[in-house]
Amino acid sequence: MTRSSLLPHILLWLACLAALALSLRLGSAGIGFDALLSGQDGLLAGRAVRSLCAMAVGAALAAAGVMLQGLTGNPLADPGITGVNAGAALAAVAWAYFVPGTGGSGILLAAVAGAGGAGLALWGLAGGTAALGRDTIALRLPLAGLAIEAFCLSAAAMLILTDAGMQARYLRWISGAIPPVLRNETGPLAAIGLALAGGFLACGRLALLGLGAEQSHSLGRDPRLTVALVLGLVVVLSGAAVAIAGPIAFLGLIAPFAARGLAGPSLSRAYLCALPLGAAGLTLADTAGRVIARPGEIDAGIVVALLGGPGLILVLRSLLRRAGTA
Amino acid sequence: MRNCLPIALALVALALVALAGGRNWIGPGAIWSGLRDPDDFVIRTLRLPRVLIAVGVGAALGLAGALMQGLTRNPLATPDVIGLVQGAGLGYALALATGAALLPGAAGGAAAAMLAVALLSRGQGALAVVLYGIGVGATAMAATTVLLVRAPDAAAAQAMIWLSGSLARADLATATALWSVLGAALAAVALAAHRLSTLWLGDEVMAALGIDPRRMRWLVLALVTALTAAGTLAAGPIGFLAFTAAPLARAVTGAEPPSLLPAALMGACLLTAADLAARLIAPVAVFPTGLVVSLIGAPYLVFFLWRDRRAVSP
Amino acid sequence: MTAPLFELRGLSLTPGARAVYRDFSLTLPEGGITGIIGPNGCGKSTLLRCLAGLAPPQAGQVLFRGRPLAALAGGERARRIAFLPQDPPPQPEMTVAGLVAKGRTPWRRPFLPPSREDRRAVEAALAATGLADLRDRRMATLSGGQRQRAWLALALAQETGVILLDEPTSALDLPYQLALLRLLQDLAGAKGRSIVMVLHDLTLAGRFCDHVVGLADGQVVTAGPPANAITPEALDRLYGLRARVAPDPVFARPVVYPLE
Repeated sequence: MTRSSLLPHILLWLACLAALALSLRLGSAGIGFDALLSGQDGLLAGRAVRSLCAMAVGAALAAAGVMLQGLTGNPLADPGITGVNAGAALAAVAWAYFVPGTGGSGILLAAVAGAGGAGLALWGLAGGTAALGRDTIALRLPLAGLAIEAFCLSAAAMLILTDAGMQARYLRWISGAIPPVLRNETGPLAAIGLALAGGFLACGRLALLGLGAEQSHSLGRDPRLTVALVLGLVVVLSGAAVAIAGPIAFLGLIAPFAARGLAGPSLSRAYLCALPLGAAGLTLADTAGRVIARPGEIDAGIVVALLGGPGLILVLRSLLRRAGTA
Repeated sequence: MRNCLPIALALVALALVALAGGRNWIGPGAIWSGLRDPDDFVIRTLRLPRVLIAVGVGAALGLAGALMQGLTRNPLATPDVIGLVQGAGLGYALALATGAALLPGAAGGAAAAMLAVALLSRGQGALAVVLYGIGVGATAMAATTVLLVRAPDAAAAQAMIWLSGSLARADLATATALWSVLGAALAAVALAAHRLSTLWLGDEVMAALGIDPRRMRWLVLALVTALTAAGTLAAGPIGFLAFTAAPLARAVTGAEPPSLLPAALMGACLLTAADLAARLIAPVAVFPTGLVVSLIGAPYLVFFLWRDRRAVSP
Repeated sequence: MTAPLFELRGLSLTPGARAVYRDFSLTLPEGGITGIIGPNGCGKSTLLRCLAGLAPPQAGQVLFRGRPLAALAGGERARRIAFLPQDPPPQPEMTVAGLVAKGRTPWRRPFLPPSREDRRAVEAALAATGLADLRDRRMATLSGGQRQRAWLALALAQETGVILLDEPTSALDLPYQLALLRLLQDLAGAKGRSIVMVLHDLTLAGRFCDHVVGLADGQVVTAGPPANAITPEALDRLYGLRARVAPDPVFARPVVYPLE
C-alpha cells in the first residue's frame, strides 16, 4: 500500500475515534469529560460498553453489506433491505419467546439461523440462479426484501406485544437500538470480531469470483466454496449484529456505497474503508439519538433509517442511471 | 355489480361478528339492543366506532389501491407500497406536532410523497416508481417515528402501535370524518364509474373513447390522496391492504379490472377480520391491527413475486 | 357537394423532437375503406392519431366533415370516430364481453347501468367478429388473432360512423386477415361506415381498399383508387422499390411484383 492510498484509511479511523469520543462525552444527560474520567457511577464504563457495541454492530453491518453486494453484484443488497436482518430478528424473538431463559448463545444461534433462512427465501424470490447476471434481479431484490422484512417484523412484533416480559426486553430492540447496558452480548461481540477478520480474508476470493465463475475456478478457487463462505460470513455478521442491536436497516447500504466511492474498484480496500465508516456511522447515529430527543432517546435504528431512506434513493438513482445508459 | 354480492354479504356477516366478538362475546339480541341504546358502553362506545372505522379504512384503502393500480397499470404501485400511506402518516404526525388540522395534514403528506415519487421516477419505467416509493416510504416512516417518539406523552410502545396501524383509539368523531371522506369519494366514483372502468386500457384507448386521460389522472390522484389520508388518519399507516385488496377481490369474485367496488368491499372485509383477530389475539393489551394485515399481505407479495419470478419485469 | 370526411390544411405535426409533417394537406373521401400505406417511420400512425383527435397539430387545421375536429368535445368525437391503436395494452384479466362493453363508454350515462341499446351494440360487435362463443373467456386464454378481433369488436361496439384502425391485421394469419378485411368491407358497404386504416400489405391494400394514400417523408406521394395509386412510379417513390404492377386475374385488383 502506498502512502497516498493509506491516507483515507487513517482519516477514517481517526473519524471513528472522534465518533467514539463524542459518544462517550454526549448522552441524554450531558456530563463533562472530567466527571466522566473521575469514574463517577461507572458512567464511563457504561457508555464505553455501549459505544463498543455500536461500533461492532456498525462494522458488522457494513462488512456484511460489502460482501453481499460483491457477491450479488447489486449495490442494493443491504442485509436490512433484503430482509436478512428481519429474518434474524424473528428467529431471535421466537427463540426468546418459546425457549425462555436459554441465554445469549441460544439467541445468537437462532438469529444466525434466521438470517440464513431469510437469505435463502430472498434468493428464491429474487429470481435465484436463473436471474443471475440480468438487470432484473437488481431491481427485484428490494421488493422481495420488502416482503420478507414486513412479514418477519410483523410476526416478531406480534410475539413481543402479546407478552409483557418480551415487551420490556425487545420492544425498543425491534426498531434497532444499541443496548445501554451489557447483558449477554459477549458471544455476539466475539462472533463479530472473528467474522470481520474472516471477511477480510474472504474478500480476495470474492474479488476472483467477480471475474466470473470459470475464471475463479481456473485460478484454483472453487466458486461454490467462495459463495458458501461469503454467505456464511454474512449470515453470522447479520445474526450477531441483530442479536445485539436488533434489525437495523440501511447501514449496510450507505456505508458500502460511501466506501466504494472512496476505495474505487478494489473489493478489499472497500471492505477496509467500510469497517470504520459503519462503526463511526452507527456510533454517531446512536449519539445523535441520545442528544436530539433529550431527555428521551431515539433509537439508533430509527436515526439510521432517517438517513437510510434518502440513501436508498441516492443509490437507486446511480443504479437506474447506469441501467439507463447501458 | 352481481359479483359484489358475495363479498357484501361476507362483509355484513363479518361486521356482525366483529360487533359480537372481543373480550366478552355478545349475543345477537344484546347487539340489537346495544345499537339502539345510546348509553350502551360496549357496543356504542367501544365496538361500533371500531367496526365502522375498520370497514371504512378497509374500503378507503382497498378503493385507493384499485384506483392506483388501474391508473399506473402496475399491480405493485399501490399507496402502501409506494410510500403514500407513509407520507400521509408523516403529514398526520407533523400536523399533530404543530397543532394544524389533521386531515389536510395527512392529505398534504400523501400528496407530497406522491410528488416526490413522481419526480424521482420520471421516465424510468414502472419498477422505478415502486423502488423510489419504497425509499420515500422508509424515509417518511423514520421521520414519523422520530416525531412521535419525541412527542412528550408518547411512550415508545404507543408510538409503535400507531405506526403499525391500530384501531385502538377508535371514536365516533374519527369515524364520522373518515366516512364523510369515503362517502364523497364513493359518490365521485359512482358518478365517473363508466369512465373509471376504462382505467386499465391505457391513455390511447381512453382518449379514443372520449375520455381526457389527463383529467382522469388528476381525478384518480385526488381520490387516492383523499382516501389514503382519511384511512391513515383513522388507523395509522396500514401496509399491504391497498396492495392486496383488489387482486384478492378479483380472485374471489372473478370481477374484471379495475374492480373498484369489489376491491373496496374486500378491503373492508380484510380489515374487519384483521381487527377482530387483533382483538382476540390480545384481549387485554392493545394489539396493532396493521400487524395482522401485514401477516396476510406480505405473504401475498411473496406469492406475487414467486409467481412472476421468471418474468422479465420492466 | 358534401364536405369530405377529413380535410387537412397546412398541418404541422411534431409528435416527438422531430417534425414529421410540415405544411401538410390531404383530403380523405367519405365512405368506403381508405388505406394509408408507406414505409416504416413515415408517420402513418401519427397521422391516424391526429385524425382521431389524439395528437392535436402544432399548426394548421383538421376538418371533420367540414367542421374543425378540435371543436368537438371528447365524448362527441368518440360517438363519431372510433380509433384502435396498433398495440393496445394487454388485458389478461378482462373477459371478451367485458372488454367489448368498454367500447360503449362514450354512450353511457352516469349512475345508469348499460342500456338495452348498449347491450345490443355489444352483442352485434361480438357476432360481427365471430367472438360470440368466446364472450366469457379471459383475454389471457385467447390466441393473438382472437385478441385482435376482441379489440376490433370494442371499436365496433362504439358504433361510430368513422373507424380508424392502425394495422388491424398485423397479428393475424392470412385467412383471419382476409376474414377481418371482408368484415370491414361489409361494414363499409352495407352499413355505410367510413374506415381509414394503416396497412402494411400492399396486395391486401390493393384488394380491399376503395382509396389508397401513399405517404413518404411527410408528403403525399400518391392518392386515389388502388388501380391509379399503386403504380410502379409510386412504389419507387414510396419505398425505392423497383416493381411491376399488374391486375390479378380474379378480382382485377392491382398486385405488386417486386423486381429485386
